[in-house]
Amino acid sequence: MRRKPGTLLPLEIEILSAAVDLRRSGTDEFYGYLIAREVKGNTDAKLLTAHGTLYKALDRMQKAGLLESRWEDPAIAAVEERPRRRLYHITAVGQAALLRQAERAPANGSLREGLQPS
Amino acid sequence: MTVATTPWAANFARRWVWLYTRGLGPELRDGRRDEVESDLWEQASEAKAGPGLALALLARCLGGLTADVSWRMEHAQISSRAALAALAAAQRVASAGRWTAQRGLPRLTVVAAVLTMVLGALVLLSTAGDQRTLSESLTGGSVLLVLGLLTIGGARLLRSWPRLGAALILAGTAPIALILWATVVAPLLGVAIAASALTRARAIRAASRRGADGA
Repeated sequence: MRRKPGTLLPLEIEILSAAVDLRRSGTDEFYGYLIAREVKGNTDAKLLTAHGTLYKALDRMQKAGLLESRWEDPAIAAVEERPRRRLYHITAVGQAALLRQAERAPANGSLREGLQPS
Repeated sequence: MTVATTPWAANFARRWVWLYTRGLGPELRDGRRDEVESDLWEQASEAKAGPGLALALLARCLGGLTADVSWRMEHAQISSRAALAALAAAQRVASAGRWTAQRGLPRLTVVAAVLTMVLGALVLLSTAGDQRTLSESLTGGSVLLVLGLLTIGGARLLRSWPRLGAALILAGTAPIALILWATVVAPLLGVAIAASALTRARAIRAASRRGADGA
């Protein structure tokens, strides 16, 4: 999808907003399923974001520097008897991009509020 | 480490991820496979097992198919003429599919055939840079391309040679339905396509017989 430089796609805005919401509630890092659930909770979507759409967007956002990721320590996953998670966090670039987006859409006050330094 | 009640839809999603990540570098391939595996596990462990969960997993998998293919193409190592030729062939078949659909044949048959061809092209693409799986991928990809061609050919011949057309459609769809029997969706789709082809062939033959009697 072609777009103007510096603009975010709707799903990217939703992911970044959900990441900010999670951070406000004390969760600095998120994994794919968690962010899909958060995005669904914040929108009117009836279904969780499709695997392909979600992970392609996360991949693209990492390349753009909006997110960074690391693989979870396998020992933690082994103790909890589940597959390891890829943990993402929003970067300063991602926060700035979201703030610019919020300034373009002033109605979204809660978004800007969440981006203020705590 | 799998959820005890892992539904068939999770296995379908795993097979799809396995297919479209074949031939990628280990880091990229294993990263995507592990990430989707984790996602499937998290969703399955959180929800109640049953048809609702299976449908939700299937919807998430099917809803992202085009994004998966597009992501795979971005990371494809198109280094061989065979891969480029496979892509070109898939495009030609897609346009042949459009031609066929415009003449009123069931779109389902055409879509399934084109999808089979695209999967075949993807499997052939996955041979790039991986000598160990070269023969396996060439065989698998070629078989898928041939099955897709049989189905497309059958769809195009159905009007003029109803029996031959229906037989080719059956020959193209039945192996896919058998190979992917565990997915439930593929065999159901295969039965629907075969039934559609047979019904249409019978109707065309009956119409031509009436025409001959009237004359």
